[in-house]
Amino acid sequence: MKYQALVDGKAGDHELLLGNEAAVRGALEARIGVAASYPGTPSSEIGDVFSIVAKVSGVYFEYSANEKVALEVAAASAASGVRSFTFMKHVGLNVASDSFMTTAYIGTRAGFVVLSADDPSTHSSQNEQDNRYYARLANVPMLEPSSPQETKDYMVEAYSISEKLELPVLFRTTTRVAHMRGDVVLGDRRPVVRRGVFEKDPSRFVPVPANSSNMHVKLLGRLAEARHLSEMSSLNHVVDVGVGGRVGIVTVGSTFNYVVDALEELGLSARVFKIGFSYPLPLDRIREFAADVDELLVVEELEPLMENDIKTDFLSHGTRTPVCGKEELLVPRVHELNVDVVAKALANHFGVPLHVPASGKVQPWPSPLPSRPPVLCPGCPHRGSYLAVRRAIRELGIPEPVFASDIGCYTLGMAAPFSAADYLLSMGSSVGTAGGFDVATDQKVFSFIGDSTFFHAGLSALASAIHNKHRFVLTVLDNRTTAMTGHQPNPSMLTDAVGDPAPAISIEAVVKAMGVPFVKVINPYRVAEATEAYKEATQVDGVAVIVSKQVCSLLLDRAKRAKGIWQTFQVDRDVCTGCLTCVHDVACPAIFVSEGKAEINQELCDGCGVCSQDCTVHAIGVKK
Amino acid sequence: MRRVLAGLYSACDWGEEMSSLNVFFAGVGGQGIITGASIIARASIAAGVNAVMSEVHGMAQRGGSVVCELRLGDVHSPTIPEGEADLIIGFEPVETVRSLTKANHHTVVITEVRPIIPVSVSLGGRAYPAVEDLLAYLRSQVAAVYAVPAAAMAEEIGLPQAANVVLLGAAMGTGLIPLEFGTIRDTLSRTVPAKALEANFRALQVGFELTRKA
Repeated sequence: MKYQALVDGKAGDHELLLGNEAAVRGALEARIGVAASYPGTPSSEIGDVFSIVAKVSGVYFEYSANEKVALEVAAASAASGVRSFTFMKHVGLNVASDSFMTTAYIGTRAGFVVLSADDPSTHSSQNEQDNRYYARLANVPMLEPSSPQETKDYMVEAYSISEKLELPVLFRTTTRVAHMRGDVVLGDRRPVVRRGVFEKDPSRFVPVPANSSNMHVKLLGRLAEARHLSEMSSLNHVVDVGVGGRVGIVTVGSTFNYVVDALEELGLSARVFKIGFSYPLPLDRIREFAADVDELLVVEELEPLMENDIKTDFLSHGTRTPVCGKEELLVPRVHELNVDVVAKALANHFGVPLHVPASGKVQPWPSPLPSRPPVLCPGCPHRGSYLAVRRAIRELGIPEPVFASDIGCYTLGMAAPFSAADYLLSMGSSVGTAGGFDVATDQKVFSFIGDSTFFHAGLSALASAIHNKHRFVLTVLDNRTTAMTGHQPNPSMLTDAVGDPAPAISIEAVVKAMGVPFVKVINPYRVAEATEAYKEATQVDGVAVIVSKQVCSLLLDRAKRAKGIWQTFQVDRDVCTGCLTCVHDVACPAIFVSEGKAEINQELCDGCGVCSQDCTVHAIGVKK
Repeated sequence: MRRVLAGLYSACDWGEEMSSLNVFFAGVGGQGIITGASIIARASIAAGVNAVMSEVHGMAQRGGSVVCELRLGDVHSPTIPEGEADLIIGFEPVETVRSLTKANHHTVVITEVRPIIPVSVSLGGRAYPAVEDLLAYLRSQVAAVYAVPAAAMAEEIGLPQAANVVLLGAAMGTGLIPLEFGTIRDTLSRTVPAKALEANFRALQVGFELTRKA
């Protein structure tokens, strides 16, 4: 079994683990019984690992329809005395936030950890919001590890803190921790506690107004206890870099790694206060620490949160050690930090020269290199859907259509030649925003949503659109998986998160039952038929739904290879006229231009055949 | 740099002043880059040396530029500062040249020679430079360039997916990675499926021979 070591590994064993894998081991060492999630990068591998190890570890694991449901499953499990874990990407916590805020009020019985994987520099996200605000907004404690080892260790600590305070703990990672791989020394793993009993206590668990105002008072009392724990915590400790450092640096998370490496690179000495229990901050200890240094630097990614807390605290206590933060150090408030950025800030502040490689940097290639952004894969069924929509629009002469897009691989349809993403907010937003464009303009509206995203946040939006008589063509790009995050199941599939059989919910049946007058299932690999379906759909006075059903090509390719059925397409160079229609319409990574004619890369072609249907002279056929 | 690790590797050749080794991997999604880097990292930890890696997952499914950063030795940050790569392993010629921001004049480069033409080129974007020009440019900038037809060699072995292992062998052949060939071989045997083991060993060996002789 893959990840066997996460289950069987003994205390003291060394394993090379991704931060996300280490989180799972930490949760297992903490004896969690229930885990629930909705996949989202950079948190996705946590679920991928649970889907393999949960059953053999005795843990219940599910992919819920969205992050709010996942958080609710975990919260109620924890209220029943079972240690529970929910994890999501940063914007997932926005979805879950309605319930998350209230879990702080009602608290928990068994340990309850909410992991938020933030994405500074938006490697795979629509924003780079700083979810450390959520700890402050909800008044819950927060831990932030710097490495896979700490990710594992802090998980165990998080459960202990959660139970001491009877509060959820926010566990914040970032891409560079979640996707950092490093050596992890394992700890003890004992049997999980999988079942509890829910003991009723409405005054505690039912926040009607009469109860909730008291709950807020109680919460602030617990937060004061949390502050005490933070002051005592070994997760907050001083690391001396070099000797005789007269400058103090407060830092947290991945930034700790950059600070230490930058100091060593520059040959500087400093006392580094490494924060791991990051809310509430151990302000008493930071004040004491500051008393022994000449100045205090605060180096943190994104928002100046620790900086503001420390500056406010020093002001109210009359602490005179100067504090330098974002503005003073010229540390940007946007994007992730790295050793280069931190070294530049420190070199500038200390007035020392930046370290340059002994041999000097090399010169980049003199002109811009061809770009290679992520693209729809060879054989991706979305390509056929977009090709059909574009054809229908062209043939009907629809002026200025608006494309309301959503979160998934299909957002890549934004690029030429499809240009099929004009507006995007969040998971499920394609449906709501389509209605907005309809009521505010005379433009024809096309919206696109994935199967997983449809169940995540599309259903209630669709009910709203139908009831309010919005007019648009909604395509559910049903590729039978949650593709972009790495192929997790969703409610339309026959298996659940751990591979057991599960009831599959038919998207077309749901849509019909909701009263949509036009519902058509198409195969996007049959471009002509799909085009006709779109032409019909545009005539509907209301919501028209097209379910474009074809399994994700990465999964299909795997299945075809396993069965030994494999075909590719090739261009007959004697027939090809070099019109390059296929190149410009289909934009497949497998098609390239060679001596003025189209050519197909046989390594990349997956045999979907969409290009052959687009060829005006039938020059593309199955390779014999 | 800082603390010298040379003593840890009696059989290997860490430079006197070198306390860490930075290896930058660049290529296209789907080429097995993370697997290749993980094998070195795992072998390194088995040999008792710290290893940290940074990967980017997500939007870069097949077809997009992908990088992976690996640092061995006494470091905290898993990402390599600009100009600080000791070794660049490029899985595609343009991606190799793109990663020169991480190189200095002492950097050693191993690069696959077979291009994968990005869609942007076919759609009328910037032309794909001639591979010979890319190689000549690399040679003009860094200490050594090993041009490795890894994909072709893996095909010859009968396991096209093993191009990453050919490049891994080539990396070992340079002598820059302070690990025993046997340690890498052992780690590889614990990473790939049993039925593909022999072909992977051959891939490792042909890559190794190619740069060791060069």
